[in-house]
Amino acid sequence: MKNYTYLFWGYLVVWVALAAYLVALMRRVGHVSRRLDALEAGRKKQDAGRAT
Amino acid sequence: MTRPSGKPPGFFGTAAIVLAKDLRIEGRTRETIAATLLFALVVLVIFGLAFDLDTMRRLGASKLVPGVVWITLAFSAIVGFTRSFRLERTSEAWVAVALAPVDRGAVFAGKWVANAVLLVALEIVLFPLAAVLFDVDLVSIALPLAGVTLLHTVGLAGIGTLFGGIVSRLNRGEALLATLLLPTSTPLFLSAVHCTGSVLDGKPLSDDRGWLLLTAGLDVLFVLVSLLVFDAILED
Amino acid sequence: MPRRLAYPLLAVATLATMPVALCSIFLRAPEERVMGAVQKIFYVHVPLASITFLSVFVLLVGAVGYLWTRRAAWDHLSIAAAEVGLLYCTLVLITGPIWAKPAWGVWWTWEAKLTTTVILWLLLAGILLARAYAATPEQGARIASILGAVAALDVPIVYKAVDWWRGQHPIVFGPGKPDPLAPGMGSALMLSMLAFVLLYALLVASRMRLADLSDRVAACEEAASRER
Repeated sequence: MKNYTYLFWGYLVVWVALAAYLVALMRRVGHVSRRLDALEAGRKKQDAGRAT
Repeated sequence: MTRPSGKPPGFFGTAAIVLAKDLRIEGRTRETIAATLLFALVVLVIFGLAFDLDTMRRLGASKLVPGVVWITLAFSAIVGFTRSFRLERTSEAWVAVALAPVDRGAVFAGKWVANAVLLVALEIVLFPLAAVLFDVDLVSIALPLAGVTLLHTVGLAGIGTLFGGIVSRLNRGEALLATLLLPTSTPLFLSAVHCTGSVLDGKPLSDDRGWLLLTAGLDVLFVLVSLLVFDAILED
Repeated sequence: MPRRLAYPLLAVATLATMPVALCSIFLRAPEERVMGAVQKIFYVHVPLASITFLSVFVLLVGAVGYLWTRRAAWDHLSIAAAEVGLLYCTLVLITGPIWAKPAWGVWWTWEAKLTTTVILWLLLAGILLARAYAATPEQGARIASILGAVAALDVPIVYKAVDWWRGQHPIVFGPGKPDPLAPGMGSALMLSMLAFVLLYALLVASRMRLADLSDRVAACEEAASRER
């Protein structure tokens, strides 16, 4: 049964680490995406404002 | 340093100028060699204290001394390399170097030789000192020892100059030099310790042909890479 | 394949393959005679290790690509390869000892493969740190590329050197090749390898996307501040 403890921890660490990285990446992508959209919306408004 | 012709110096000319400049600065101030030497001494003494007498006797000089000496050299070299590029940091001398119409690889070459000379000067003091502190006879094996040491020193200077250059461009980069340099030069240090151990054991150099070739190859590889890449390093 | 489809397809493929691999590992592959259940860590450890070294190669490609063309996309590849490579390397160094303790009785041995992996970890961490220390992103990209190329070229040399070094002393408990694989094991290993490769591709693609978006945000912000 000692063997199963090691096995369990091994798999747990691997999955948690990979999942955590993926989740963190996705969150940052979402963040940056929103920021980019906000910036681009701001620029469009500026350009529209200047055109009139 | 005026040249009558007004043409920019070629590769070897540039390297020679940089080398002469670095050595002259060092000759006048002697700050780098002093700091490096003192640091090396401290590390050597720490090693002397690190092992109890019984262990040292049991290990024997040829197993103990190579590792101790080369670790000491590794850390001292880092102290030296950091200062070597700091020479240019003051008064933005880098801008002048970068603007000069010379092959930047030649700048690397000059600095490489300067660093090698610095290391050799360090070793000339360090090895006899280690011989005294750890009770080793160096006189009988002086020549092969010198050869092995020179080969590895040249390589260490090359790798150190490359990373020193890279790291000097970064903010607070000096903290990074050891972290980058030491793992990369592992093969060099392994070879150095092994060959130095062999030499202390009295074995002929031909026994370690493989290691020596590996180191020579590594030296050449790093010098080539550095010459190629130094342009990119100095870009800003 | 249209680019917009590639990414979701990759995600789906990864999500699909993982459970299949896990089933294969736990349900189909026979339990190993000597070590028992712990040997199953081998099914994640080996793919993780192989892909770590694959990542070094990808890093080399990205680094050389950037130094040659100076196009940002290559640098995005570099940074992704370095980060995900570091992650996989960390996992290798964690799963290895977990397997080693029951198998050999020790957590660690300074054998060539293990030592090289540690050194690789240090090199990758150093590269990422150097990026963080750079004055500008462009300088960071340049320096990280140089360091990446040097590290990638160095790794095989390090392996050879440590191998020779350790070769002096015969290793009593050797990590040599594992016992010949029983039939169920081979396919489990293959499936696991496939799953981890797909996951690697997914992570790298995601990281590259993040890098690209970040660059565009920085460019927008710089343009905006210049106009003001």
